[in-house]
Amino acid sequence: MIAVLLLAVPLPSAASGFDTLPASSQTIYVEQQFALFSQNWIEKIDRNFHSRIGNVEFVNNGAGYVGRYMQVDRDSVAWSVKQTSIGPGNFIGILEYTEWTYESVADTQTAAALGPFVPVHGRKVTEIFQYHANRWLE
Amino acid sequence: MSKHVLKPLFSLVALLGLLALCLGVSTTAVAQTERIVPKAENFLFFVDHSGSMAMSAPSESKSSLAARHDPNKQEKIEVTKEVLKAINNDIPDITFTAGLYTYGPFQEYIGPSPYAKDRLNQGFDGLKTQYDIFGRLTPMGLGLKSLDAVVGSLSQRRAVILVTDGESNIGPKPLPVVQDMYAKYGDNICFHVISFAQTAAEKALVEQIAAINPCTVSADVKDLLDDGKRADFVRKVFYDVEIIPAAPVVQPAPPAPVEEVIVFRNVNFDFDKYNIKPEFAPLLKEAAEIIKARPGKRVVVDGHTCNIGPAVYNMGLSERRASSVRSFLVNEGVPADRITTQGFGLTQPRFDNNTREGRSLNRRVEIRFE
Repeated sequence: MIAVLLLAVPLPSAASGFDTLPASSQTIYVEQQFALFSQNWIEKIDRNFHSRIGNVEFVNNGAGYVGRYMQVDRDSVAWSVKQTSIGPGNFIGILEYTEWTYESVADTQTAAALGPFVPVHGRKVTEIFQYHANRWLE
Repeated sequence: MSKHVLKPLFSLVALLGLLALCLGVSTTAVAQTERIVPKAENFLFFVDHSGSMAMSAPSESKSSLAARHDPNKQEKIEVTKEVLKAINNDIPDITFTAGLYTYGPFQEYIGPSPYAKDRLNQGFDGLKTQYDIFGRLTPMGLGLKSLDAVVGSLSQRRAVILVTDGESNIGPKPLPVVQDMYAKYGDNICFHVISFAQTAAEKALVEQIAAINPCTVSADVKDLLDDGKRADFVRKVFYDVEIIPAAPVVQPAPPAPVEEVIVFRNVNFDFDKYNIKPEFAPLLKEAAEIIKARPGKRVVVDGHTCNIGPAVYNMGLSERRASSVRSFLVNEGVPADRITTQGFGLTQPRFDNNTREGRSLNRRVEIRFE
């Protein structure tokens, strides 16, 4: 079953870091699952921001209008899987990414909607996930 | 442990460069460009072609007894042609309607038509020289009246470049004709003068014409043989130079601030729960290690909820969740005086509370570094 899954899902490419222990087949499988989980999680974050592309927030600040939305910088996304010391097969997944808040300022809401939107604030987020019962917990 | 990225990593230098390009910009210095703007839409050259212009050009002698004509010297009309062609050569690439007329006799050499350097030069070349001066008097006033019909056919601003030796010895006096034309066309006409005047009377007439309107540019023909003075004449008669601020020169603004935060959503923060189950301990242990790896930073644990339930209750729930996380971290060795807590309840939703997904994302604890 695991072998079939290994063939079906391509191995993620490693760009940095180093291996301290040879990865077991189970570890590879768990990593592959977390790679897919991470992609889906980032998609979920992006489509659920309170202010997002497609649902830009406009605020009248008295001097004009501020258009605002948030978005994950896809180039910033990185993940890793660690085996914990509590029992065999216990893993945690660490997902890192940067959220940017973009703003556009103009006299009218219509003009603010036209942009340009510039990044005004960033958040470097680290999310830590638990692996339990053969799946990553949201 | 191997760290993976979803896309290839950039080198540090390339990443910083990309960050600089992606960040917002601020304006600093403003570069400027110049634009040539014609002073009139219509320029008419009006040349005295009477007998006096077939006499020699003004001599350097100040003596009143100096000969009015020296057959060994260039005729005024010959110098006129030379100077007008040099002026034509100095005119920049601007669009206007041009015409060439003479008086004594009144004749059209080039009717009002789009300015073309070559065509105007051909017109100047067509001005006869070494003609018979007998009986060829100077009807400047009458010539100006004839020119008025041409001026009246034009629209917008007109400039008349009058080439004269200051003589007018037949027909109406030119000064009242010029005054009438200024009264008729107002700010849409200006007479400029290229002067061959020698005698006091000739110079007086030229000065009187120039004095009617401050727009007039007057020059002695001898000066216009000098490249610099001629360029100055052309600049004053034909065009203005406008300074146009170019688009602001943009430079990368200072990078937008980036804060660092650890987020927990899944330490059993189900609806109305704040206690941490043992199976989630590894997550918080990892957070403790991250915090201890940053010894110089203070830590704030913020609790957040979704919008289900009363605001007051959610505020208390978020404070209890933050407090639970703090207690765990302190037990893991993070100094207690480094950690504070805050409950925000439902007041700072980062995600859309209108969806089940959004509400679950809002139920979170964030560990911020300060």
